[in-house]
Amino acid sequence: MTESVPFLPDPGGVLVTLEEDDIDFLSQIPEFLAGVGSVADDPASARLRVPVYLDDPEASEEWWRLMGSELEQSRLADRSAFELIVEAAASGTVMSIPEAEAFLRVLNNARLALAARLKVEVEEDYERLLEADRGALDYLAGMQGLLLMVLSAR
Amino acid sequence: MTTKPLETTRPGTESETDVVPDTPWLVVVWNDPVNLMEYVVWVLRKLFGHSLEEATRLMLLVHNEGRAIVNDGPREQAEIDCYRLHQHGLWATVEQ
Repeated sequence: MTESVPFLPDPGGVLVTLEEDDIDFLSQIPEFLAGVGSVADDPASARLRVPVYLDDPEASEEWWRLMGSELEQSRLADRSAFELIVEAAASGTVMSIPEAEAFLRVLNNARLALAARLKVEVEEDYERLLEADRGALDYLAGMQGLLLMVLSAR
Repeated sequence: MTTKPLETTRPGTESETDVVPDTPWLVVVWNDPVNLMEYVVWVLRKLFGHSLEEATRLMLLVHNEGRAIVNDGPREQAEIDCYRLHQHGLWATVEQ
């Protein structure tokens, strides 16, 4: 997809400029993530709701009862920020650092959820993926890597 | 979620109680085949203020050994750390 540099350092944070293909693809992510858990036995939902106490299911359940809704609110806020940035990115827009971090988390959650639905459990599982599925994961990883370079250089 | 310090009675001084420091709770990050190595390093630096070298050491421990203890402390703090790690998509657990 993108051949230009999508993320550049900016005094206000990170300048993001996306091409049409990138926008078409990335704009589907918030809806995809909002749908996690909407199907029965969704492995993506399980990946984003892993146990916190491995040897104590009750304590784990209690943790999720207390923290789960706050975590979901935080993820929702990240997705909303991501959506607005993608919408504005055709002509270039500056993300604040907190917005850039939210953008990064959404990219990461998209990879986690997609990989879970594709049943990627060990690194060797990548080898058996269809080209399109692997391409989507690689594309998201590439975007993450480029944004990380800008954030890590600060 | 708070954890009270253990209270013990010293032999021969039954009216006296000592406060024994609580055993720290450990925050563990587990390996997964999806999170990028550089992303894990970035998260550990951001959340715990680790140097690049320390964050990289912990990330490699996760990658090579399957898990690494990234912080420890009182249970409440460990649970908050766990929340922040989950917020960033890392699989983190709490144990003692």
